[in-house]
Parts: sequence; structure tokens; C-alpha cells
Amino acid sequence: MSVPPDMQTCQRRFRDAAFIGDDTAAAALWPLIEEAPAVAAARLAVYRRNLMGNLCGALAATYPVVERIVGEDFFKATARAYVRAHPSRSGDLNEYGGAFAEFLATFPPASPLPYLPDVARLEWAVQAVYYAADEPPADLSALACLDSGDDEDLVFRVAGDIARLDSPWPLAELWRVNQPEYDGPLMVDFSLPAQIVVWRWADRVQVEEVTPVSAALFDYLRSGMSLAAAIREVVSVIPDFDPLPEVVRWCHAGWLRGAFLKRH
Amino acid sequence: MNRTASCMTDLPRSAGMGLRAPHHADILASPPDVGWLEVHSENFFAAGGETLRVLEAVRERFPISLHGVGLSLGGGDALSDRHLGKLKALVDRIDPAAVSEHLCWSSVDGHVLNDLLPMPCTRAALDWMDARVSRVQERLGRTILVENLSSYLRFARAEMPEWDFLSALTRRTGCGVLLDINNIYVSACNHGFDARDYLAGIGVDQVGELHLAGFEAEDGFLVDTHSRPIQPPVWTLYAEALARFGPQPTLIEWDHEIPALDVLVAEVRQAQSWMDRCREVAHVRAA
Repeated sequence: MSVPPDMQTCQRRFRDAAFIGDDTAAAALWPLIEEAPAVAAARLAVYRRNLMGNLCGALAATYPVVERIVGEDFFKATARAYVRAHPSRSGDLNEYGGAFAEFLATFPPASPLPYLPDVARLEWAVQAVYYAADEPPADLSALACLDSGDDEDLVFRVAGDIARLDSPWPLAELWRVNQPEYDGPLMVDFSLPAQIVVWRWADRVQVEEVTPVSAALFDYLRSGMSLAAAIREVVSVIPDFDPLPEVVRWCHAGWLRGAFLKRH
Repeated sequence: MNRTASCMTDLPRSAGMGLRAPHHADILASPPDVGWLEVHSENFFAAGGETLRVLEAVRERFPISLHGVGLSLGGGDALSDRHLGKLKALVDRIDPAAVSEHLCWSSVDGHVLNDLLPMPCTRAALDWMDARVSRVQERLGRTILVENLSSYLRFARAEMPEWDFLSALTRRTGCGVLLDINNIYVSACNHGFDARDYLAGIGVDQVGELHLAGFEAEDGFLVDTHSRPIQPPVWTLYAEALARFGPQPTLIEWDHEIPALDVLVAEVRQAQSWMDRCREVAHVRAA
């Protein structure tokens, strides 16, 4: 069955009037509407308000730290500009706003806050981790039957509900001091870059800063590199780094969910 | 509390309320005395994590109504397979007592407006929605309920009143009507029809659920805000709906400026007492 043309015209003109919202778009809608234009304009305004309000509300729910940093008024104006530039593509509002970080990076009024796009990137990752599929119970039994030398073949499966971010800004600190429950001093050393792991523990999202060398080791393991090869890579750069306590901790925290021996 | 299920859903014929994020912890800690709970399906489209854990815990104690707001049943775009797939996964996971959506469109040319927008009430649009409701029911393997909107604008050149459109959709697809009493009242005021004509236009055996909510007045018209207590004329219309359709599962909707849980529960009790009164009247008449 093809779309009824009259119905489609109604919906297109309604969309244009509600979304673009200029006089031309409204004038094109009025002949299709029962109410007289004088009455209809105020009523169309309700739809325009709902449309904008629903999408801006979705952005505010996903990006509370960005909102806290820039303030409510700035956030609202920014969100409106984003909605106009990025129409929604999903009936699920939780999927709206994935390009907000990129948008902030090119939004001139936000340019005095060059770290803002990375904050948005972090918040999008936090939401993705929050909604990610549940992991099956960890199976690290392969570790128990390791003979010495086996770690050349030992590879890990990293949990799916984990995100990794690198930023030239102190992202974890920015995150921490902008949580609603934080009431310490708002002091952040902006000269410090950050390596972040976003992960889930008992359904709660954790934003954790790790050292550069730990981040490198984790990334190697996640790429499927064997433990021995990954350790060689990081120790060649930082000779006094002791990787095993990190690996053990990651097993306990559930970052590493499976261990198996790669057979040649 | 009468627990007999309505024939179109497995919801008990009693009053229920929406489960909204600010009340998750309270409702799990001390479950209120309400008949059932409703959630917006899309809020539980996650692949895993806390939201589903909460819903599954609540599901152990209450029948659940999954109320969708994003399927665009009347939209010109193809039904989203992804959206429908997520809804199907949620239905399979939760085994809800009812699944509902709206008599509306929200997407055109791939552009989603994330609002419930009015349909042109034409025969061609009815054919179009008929096919889509049937496809959704086929995919979900169950009947759904379709709800009437509040509207502020009406498309001209309608070929039938909205109640005939909704009633015909129900007859053709086997879906049920989710009759929102507040929406009838708001639309009747906004468009100048008699709310009783709407009730009379829906068959007594077509209704599977009723909704109640609060509206606000704007300059010369009413807006359905879900942010207020239910207004007296809506209670009156509700009583008339109960007289026509019998006691039906009734939801108190409150989605903005959400009040404390006990305020909501008090509204649920009020709806319940209207239903109980309706039953007494029926008994007296029968005797």
C-alpha cells in the first residue's frame, strides 16, 4: 500500500510549520486546517513548544554536566540550536543527541569552553554504558590452568558495557566536581590530560581515571593482543610498570570478563 | 478490589498509575495499594542495566501496561523495524497485561517530531492505519489498544468524526480502544463538539482501558499537560464513560511536575471510588 498523498501532504506541511516555524510554512498549513489562522497560530505554538521542549528535555537529561557547567539559559539556547540543526531520527528520545559533542565543537558561542565537547562525549558514553546489555557471568577459569609461559597465548575478552575515552582535559575531575552530590571546592587543574574508563558496577555507572600506561595496557588487551605481548609493549615504554596488579584488579572489577588461550 | 480482567487486556478492572523515575525507589520499597502500573515502553528500550531491573522487580508485584509513544502508527514513513523489534523484545521480557499506542503520527520523511500529532480523519488515512495496526499486532503476536489524543488543531476536509475513525479502526483490526477521558474533554472544548457524542460513537465492547489526567487552560483553549490533578468536568465525563462502558482499567497519568507518591495514590483512590460507585449503581439497577 502506498502512502495516501493527501495524508502525506498534511503531515509534511504540519512538520514544516511546527519545525521550521516561519510565516511561509505556517501559511502553507492554514488551508489544510479547520481552525481560522488567527486561532490556529496560538495552537500551533503549543505543538512547536512541545516539540522543542521534548527534544531539549532529552538533551538536558543526557547532558546534565554540560548544563551545569554552562548554566540553564546557555544550555537551553544551545539545545535549541542543536534541535534545529539535528532533527530527531528515532521515536525513542533516549537515542537523541548523539552528535551533541561534535555540535558543541563547532558552535561559536561555546568556543570559550574548549573542553565542553569532551564533557559531552563522556556523558554520551555514560548513557551508552548505563543502557548497555547485561554481561554474562565472567569466565576466567582459563587463568587457573595457566602453566608458566602460557601467557604468550593468553587473551582476554573485555566487557561490552565499558567505554574508554582520552582527553587533553581533566575530564574525570570535571565530571566529579559537577555531580549533584559534590560539595567540595570547584578547583580543577586544566593542564592535566585524562584517560578514562566508563564502566558499570551493580548497575551504577562509574567514571574512573586510569594512568596513561594502564590505559595503554587495557587498550592492547581489548584489541585482542595477548597478555605477554601487551605487557612487552607497555614495559618497553615504562620499564618500572608492574602490570599484574592492574590485570588482577580488572578481573575483579569485571572489566575482563573472559580469558582463553589462543591456539596456534 | 475487583480483579476480573477486562476482555481486551489482562489488566484488572481497577485504577492504576504511571511508574515514573522519581518514584522508582519508593514504589519498590513500599508498593502502593494500586491495581496496576503503566510505563512508557520507550523508557525501557535499554538492552540491559538498571531500568530493566526496576521494571522486572515491579512486574513481580503489579500487572504492567506498556504504553508506547514513539511508533507513529499513523505516520507516512515505513514502520521502524528497529523500534518494533525493541518493543517486541520488551513485550517478551515483561509479559505485560496490556500494550497500547496512539491514534497519531509523529514521523514524516524520516524526520521524527517526538510528539503525538493529530491524524486527518479520511478514509485513505483509515486504510493506511488499519494496515499498520494489523502489522504491529502481527509482529507482537497480540492485540493492542489505540488511544485518542488531545488536539489543538484539526485537519480540514475530514470525512468522518474522530470517534468513527477510531471505532472503525478497532472493528477492522481487532484492536481495542484506550479511551482517554481528559483528551475527549480537551478536544471537545477546543473543537466545539459534544464530548458525549464521542462516548456514544465508541462501541460498548470496544474499550479496554480508560485514561484520566489534568489539563491547563491557555488563551481560549485547553492544553493536555499531564501536570495537574484531574479537573471536575473530567471526573463527571468519567462517570458517564463508566456508565456506558462499565468499570474499565483506569490510569491516572501525571508526567510533568510529578507530585509526591501519596498525591498520585490519592487520585488513583478517587478513580477507584468512582468505579466502585458505578458497580453499586449497576447492582441496584439489576436488582
